[in-house]
Amino acid sequence: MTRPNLAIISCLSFLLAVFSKVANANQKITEAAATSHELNLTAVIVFCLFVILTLMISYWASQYTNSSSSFYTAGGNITSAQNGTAIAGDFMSAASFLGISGLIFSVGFDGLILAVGALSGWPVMLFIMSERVRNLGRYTFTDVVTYRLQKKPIRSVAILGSISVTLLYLIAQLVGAGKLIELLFGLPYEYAVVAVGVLVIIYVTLGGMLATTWVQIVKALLLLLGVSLMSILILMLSEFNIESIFEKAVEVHPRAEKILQPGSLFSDPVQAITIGVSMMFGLLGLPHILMRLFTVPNMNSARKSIFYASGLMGYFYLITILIGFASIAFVMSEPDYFTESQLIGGTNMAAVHLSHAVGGSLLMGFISAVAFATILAVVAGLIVAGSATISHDLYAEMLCNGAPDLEKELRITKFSAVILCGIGVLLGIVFQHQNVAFIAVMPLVIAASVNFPILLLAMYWKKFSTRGAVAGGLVGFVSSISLIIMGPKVWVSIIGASEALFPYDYPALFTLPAALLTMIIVSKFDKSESAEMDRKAFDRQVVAAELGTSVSAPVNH
Amino acid sequence: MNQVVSGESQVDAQIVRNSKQFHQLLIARNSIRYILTTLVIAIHGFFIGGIAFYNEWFGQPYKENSIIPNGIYFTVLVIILMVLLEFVYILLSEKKIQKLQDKVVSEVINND
Repeated sequence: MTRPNLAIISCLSFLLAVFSKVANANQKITEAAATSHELNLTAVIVFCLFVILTLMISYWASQYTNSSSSFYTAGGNITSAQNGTAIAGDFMSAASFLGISGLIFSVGFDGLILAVGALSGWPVMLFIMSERVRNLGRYTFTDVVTYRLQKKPIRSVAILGSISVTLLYLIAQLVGAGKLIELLFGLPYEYAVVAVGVLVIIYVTLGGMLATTWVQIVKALLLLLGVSLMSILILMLSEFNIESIFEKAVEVHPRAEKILQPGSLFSDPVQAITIGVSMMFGLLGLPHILMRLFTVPNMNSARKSIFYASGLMGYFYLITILIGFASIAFVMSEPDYFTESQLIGGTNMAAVHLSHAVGGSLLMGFISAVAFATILAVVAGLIVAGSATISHDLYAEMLCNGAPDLEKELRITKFSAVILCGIGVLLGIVFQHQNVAFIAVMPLVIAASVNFPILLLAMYWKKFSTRGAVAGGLVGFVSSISLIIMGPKVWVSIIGASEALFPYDYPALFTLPAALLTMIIVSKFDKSESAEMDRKAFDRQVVAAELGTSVSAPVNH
Repeated sequence: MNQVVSGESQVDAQIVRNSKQFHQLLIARNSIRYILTTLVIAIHGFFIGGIAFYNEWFGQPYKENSIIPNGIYFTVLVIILMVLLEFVYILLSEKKIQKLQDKVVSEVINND
């Protein structure tokens, strides 16, 4: 029996064992819906179908994943529509769907800041990043910054930024996954996290980026189908009168008409601004998103990918607004969804309860399964990005000076995917009782303060030097971590101090300019020979970045 | 060490970089990039700034006999504008910039 077959059969046996546990587990959601058996059956069936389909995809993809290039970037053969859907899938995470609708449910309008913040980085990604990144890089964003800067020092900083963002994002996703699955399926937390880990290892080690992309595409389409169905049902129930949804929401929400006005959550204007900055520029430095630009054959496809992704996300966020306010109107007035005056499962479950309110157990089961699938797909993308950083950036480029043994590199890639996933699962279990909200903040802030400024200046500013990049990157990294620790989420909520040393949760408004300024000042004063070499290579880089032709492209995609 | 640049590609890249056609391409593409990026940052800035400093306006109903506030319409408008601006970029890239790029490739690179 071949290795892919064995892996898939082991995985199916494992899943069977896990879901037999589900059938017997205590189902918290029962309290909410009083139809738990129907609900779980639907959720388990939809989820099992998704898993079977995605395992088949992984098996199919494994036949094409036989080199580092196919592992990291699916050989650059993904079409722009496919890549756009996968990128949208990467970003339409459980946090976007459940988090934003949950925030609107609890505070109203302020939840929309996150929806707009999440979307507004994409046009900038298209205009100033997509084409140049695609033409200058090969597998990871660090390839882009090492095009003309000195490889070892800049790669060290870029790897630091990349791995920390990936790992923190991974932990946040896995802890969220464990909690979500525990609630939705009644599955014990540890089983849930291990189940996600096992499935992701299968997807990634067998099918690499090709499998991950298709898993993401399937999940994105299911999610869009689910939210579209929900919105149609919401509109039908309200007789296509959106006004009545808002009227009902104001009527039943304890904060009444204040839910239609900003200021409930972010009373300090600087807080709103710094969140906007973190979300917008954080996106531009996320390694697993940037890596998707290398999966398409050329810059035109990269450009179109981002446009397709934004179109899908724009549609998704518009629906999220409707779902958020409809969840107030349809769920808040129903005591069945509450226990001891609290929404069962917390406010993040508002959209899931809404799906039950408008579509019964069937839709709720579908939405629950899609939420689980969402986490699986996002974690798979993160693992591919993380393992590429270790095997390509660290092993192939730094340790082997760009001339690695290709078979060994592929083995290291798969091995690092397993190790990363294992570390993620372990940390996910260790952190299960902790407030991990700060972990969810860190990746965006670090990406905005380390990866984004280095990328931007490396691509657009001739005088940028390696020393400037390293100094600014370190300033961005240290300041982000320090200010997050000194902020309310860690200093007050975790350490237990009465007052935070720094008043904001998302410090990118301060750390991004600090990093940029350091990069500019150090580069300006850098008169070294290596800085001159960095600058001399800029013209060649511009030609490669704009044309992507063989004239100056360092690598053949 | 810096990436090694071979002599031949260094010369080729320099010829392309100094060519009039490439200069035109760079000016055109960068102008579009910078203008549209400024627009996006301005729109996002107005949205966040508006929420931060003019939250009452965001909470006021858009029209009489309606409860839906300006803020909801503004949010929907911002989301649609973001996607529209991207569409404009794609359109300009394909209709205008691509021609300039093809010109560079055919007149400078292929001739060289």
